Amino acid sequence: MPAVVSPWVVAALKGIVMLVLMLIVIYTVRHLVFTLNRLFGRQRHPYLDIDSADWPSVTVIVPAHNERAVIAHALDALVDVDYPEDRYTVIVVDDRSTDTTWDEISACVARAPQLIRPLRRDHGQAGKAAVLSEVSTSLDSELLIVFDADYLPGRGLIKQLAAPFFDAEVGAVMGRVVPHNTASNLLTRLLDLERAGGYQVDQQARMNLHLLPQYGGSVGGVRVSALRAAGGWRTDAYAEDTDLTYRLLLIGFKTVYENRCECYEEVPEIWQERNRQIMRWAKGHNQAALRYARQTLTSPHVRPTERIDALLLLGVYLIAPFLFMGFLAAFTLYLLGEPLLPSGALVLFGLTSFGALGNFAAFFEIAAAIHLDRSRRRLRLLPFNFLNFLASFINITRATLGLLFNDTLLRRELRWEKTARYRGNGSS
Amino acid sequence: MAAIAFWLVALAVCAAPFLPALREWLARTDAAPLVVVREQDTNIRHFAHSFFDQVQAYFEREGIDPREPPPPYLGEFRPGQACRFLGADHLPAWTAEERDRRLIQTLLLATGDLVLEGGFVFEQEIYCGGQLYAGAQSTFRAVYAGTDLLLGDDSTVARWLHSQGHVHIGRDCRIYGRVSSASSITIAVGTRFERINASLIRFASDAPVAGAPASTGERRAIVDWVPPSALHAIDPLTLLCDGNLVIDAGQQVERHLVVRGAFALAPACRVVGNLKAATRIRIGAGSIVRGALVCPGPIAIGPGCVIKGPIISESSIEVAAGTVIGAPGRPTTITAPRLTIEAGAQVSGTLWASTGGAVIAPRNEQYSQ
Repeated sequence: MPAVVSPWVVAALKGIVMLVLMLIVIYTVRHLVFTLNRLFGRQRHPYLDIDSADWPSVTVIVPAHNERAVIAHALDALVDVDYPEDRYTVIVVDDRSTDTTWDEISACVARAPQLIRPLRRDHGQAGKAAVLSEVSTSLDSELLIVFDADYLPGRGLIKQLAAPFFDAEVGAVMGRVVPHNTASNLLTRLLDLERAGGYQVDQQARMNLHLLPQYGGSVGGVRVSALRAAGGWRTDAYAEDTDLTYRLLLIGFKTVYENRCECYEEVPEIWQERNRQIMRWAKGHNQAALRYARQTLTSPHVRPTERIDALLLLGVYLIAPFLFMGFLAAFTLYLLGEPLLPSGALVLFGLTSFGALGNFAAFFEIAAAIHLDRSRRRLRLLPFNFLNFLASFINITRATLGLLFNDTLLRRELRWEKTARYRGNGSS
Repeated sequence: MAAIAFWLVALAVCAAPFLPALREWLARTDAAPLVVVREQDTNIRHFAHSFFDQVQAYFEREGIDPREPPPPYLGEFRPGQACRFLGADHLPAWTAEERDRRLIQTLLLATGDLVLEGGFVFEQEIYCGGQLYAGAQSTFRAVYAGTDLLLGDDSTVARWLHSQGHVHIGRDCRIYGRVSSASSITIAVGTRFERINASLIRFASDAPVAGAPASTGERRAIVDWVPPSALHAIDPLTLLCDGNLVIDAGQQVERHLVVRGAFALAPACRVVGNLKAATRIRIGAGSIVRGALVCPGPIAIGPGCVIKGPIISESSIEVAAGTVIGAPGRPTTITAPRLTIEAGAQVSGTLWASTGGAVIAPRNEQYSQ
């Protein structure tokens, strides 16, 4: 069999393996730089200390679809926040719920009619992006803050999220999401580790290094004038948050990350839900990569280091399919009896593959995050994160292939999928 | 045989990390959600208020009515922590040993006014229900005063200091931690501080401040600023400049400005929006900024300016004499690692100097461009 294969094919396969190896090394170095920065570098929290100010007007939007188990907790917490009442409104949008969400909302409105404005949608495109797009066109506040219905903001969170907007260059702010249902099972505990690495290390390091922290869609805010200048919310984006991060960057605004703006959320408790979630993120991220990679390369408003980071961030979900391609190429070379790579490179390949995948959070980032959070015994679970890595690897690859073949070539319409809730007495 | 041994060892090495992982999975020891609300980070008065609550709980526990206090006695404030209840005795008597060592190791509780002789070290918190006068050259851990609080020259506070009335801090003091007042604070020249909060904070000098407010008065007609063509709007409210920017004297700017280089505002300008510069900001004398000043580099504010919004630097902020920042009804925040404030300046709100702040005598520098 080896005799019939063209040397060009062998060379191409080796080229693929080398390319994948190079990409993995680049991302591993990136993760390592971020981790070292968080452990030993200068930490930036420039807006953290703003506690007195003439606060801007804020509208909080809470999109809700079948959220009866959680919506009342979120609204009660939002009513209880420390923010000037004359500059603060909560708009809760019931997006065609089929359970008792509207009744729960109505009960909350009765308790705080001056703060909560309920809206009910029963037509138009479904989904969070569509809700945000529709509601934000008529806003008259300076800032828009988005919370998912399962989030539980602390009293000071709105002020903390509003504070960075005194910086005229800030277009969006992202806070830290902390899983609330960590104790449920192994998956929630692994996701807790992954979130810690992603926020505590990855996002904060990018903030420290003046790179591109990512707006994540919840526990975050947007300057309304910047949002409009960027073209508003896109309803044809799988990840409207990533999409907006890049559109703001390209017109000259920055996204900043506030590590101390912490808010609880629910993470998926079953693997199928987690798989759907990561596939949605991968699709959205790769869609943004296709849309904005070229403009990110050429935009005059982006600094060189910021440009490199923005491009690497766009490519973060492409690593899984590339790695898959690398595995295939390496396996084929093995079957052909070809020497794959020098043995040192093979070891490097194995180590970096192990370390560099799993959403944003490489393993050493997670370890550093747990160290920084001072909740260290949960670090023992780190080896199990290999399961999360495997699931992410498979699902990101599936999602990327799906985006390329189903959505781009067959031009399938975007379908919105809601994340399940687990609080209270059942999921919805 | 060697191969089997090799593979067994390899398997054991790979499996070893899973043993603690399995243990943690099956018998959880650290599965609770992380704690996300840390009020002590954001509320400058957190420690003072929680100490006050503890004192009230102690009074209740001991059956003490602060209006009719019992005679002085020694008690136990927290388990294992002695306290000296002073009652209405405003001139506490120290023991001979305490006098010799100049060291008070018990927590002090006074329901009325309190006068503390200077030159002592107070190792525990002090609660004073009335006015507290502390002599010079003393060292305190933490102090709570129910009305006014006067801290003598060359004193040191290690953790926090709070008063429900006016606070006067003498010359050359060192205040590590937090200072807050429900009313106003006056801080004299030479004092170093970290975090201060009050609706009115005056930086005072023994000598009159020469030329401070007068320097605001470069009276000239204000004209609308015409942005150079190199600037472009990134949204309808915000202009972006990709290099340095200087705005000439007497101009009025109606928008937010983002400058990717250094920014200088000549004297007697008015800015309605927020200002952001990447390298440094210099505000000319007598200018008025209704928005915020934000810069990763240093910010220098000339004499006699009025700044309404927050001032944020990741390097240093200098505030010249006669400048007014915030207003009693509209407090704001000044935050930077290093803060230097000249006597004669006035701030409403919070000052936060993470590396250190200092009150200095006016330098009468020219801030004109």
